[in-house]
Amino acid sequence: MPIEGLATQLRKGVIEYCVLAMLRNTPRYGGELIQLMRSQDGLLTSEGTIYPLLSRMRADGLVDTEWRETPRGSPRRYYRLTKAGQQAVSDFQREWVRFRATVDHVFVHEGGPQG
Amino acid sequence: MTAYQADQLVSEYLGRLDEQLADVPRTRRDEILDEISQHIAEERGLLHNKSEADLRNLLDRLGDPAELAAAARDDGDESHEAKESRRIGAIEVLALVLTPLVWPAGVILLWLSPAWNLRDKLIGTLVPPGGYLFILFSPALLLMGTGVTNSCGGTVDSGGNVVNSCTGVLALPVWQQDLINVGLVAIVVVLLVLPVLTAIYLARRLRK
Repeated sequence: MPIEGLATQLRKGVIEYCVLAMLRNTPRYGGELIQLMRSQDGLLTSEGTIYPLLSRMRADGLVDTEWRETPRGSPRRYYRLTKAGQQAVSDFQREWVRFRATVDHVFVHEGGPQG
Repeated sequence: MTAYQADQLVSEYLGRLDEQLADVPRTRRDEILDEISQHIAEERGLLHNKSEADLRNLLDRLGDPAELAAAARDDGDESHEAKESRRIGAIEVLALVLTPLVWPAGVILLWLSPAWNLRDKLIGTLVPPGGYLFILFSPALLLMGTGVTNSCGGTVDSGGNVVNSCTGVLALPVWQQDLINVGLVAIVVVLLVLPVLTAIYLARRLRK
């Protein structure tokens, strides 16, 4: 697999959970999530994809939304975690920590001097 | 670039996105378009010099409409896809209602639906033998049977005594007639209940 395809596949697997993690402590609106993502290298290549992603997670019951007034401009849709969303984020974190440790172990201890 | 040209650029982008989202359910499509256009409006407000290059960069950062649409469709979770394909639709509801009531129509729908496996379909087809349609015919069959074979008549024998003689079921002793009646009632009850039980079974299989 070419390295660019690999990065895309890896991103696809985790992006949803990264968004859920960013909503863990506080509800946020889409633009806010995009700003947070900008500081995370390589996590979000097309910024607009956050919106279909959020809409899909809402359809799946992982997040729900509420409109909030803004100081100026029109009200914004804020996304917050549901119970199922909280659960999904905890499950992912547990799984991810184990998985990362396994991969790290293979590369450091079993991969020879190049590792 | 005039404000008019800028608006054109944006509405062209949203138009392409709308096209790409054609196979996404209406409510979700509206939600995505709504959010994206609000995002563009807010970001445009933040641009220092409202040049065409800035606006084009903004739209480029958002991404290709085809890519956004792919993100709206992509489930990336097989278990969810499997759930979707077994979703309860009009065919399944009709099949459940019609299988006991209008047997052939219900069974055809039952076999058309991907929501049940072969075993469920066989049970749905065979357990209520003919559904309620069969029950409509069965009393008629019984009546025909009794009508033909049962008759009683009195005759006077040589000694002047009236002798009643019967044929068919009525020729049997009373306790045996009662037994047959109880049996018939039981069969009718079973035939009435079985289609309902089958429908309940199929409905439960649907939820799995």
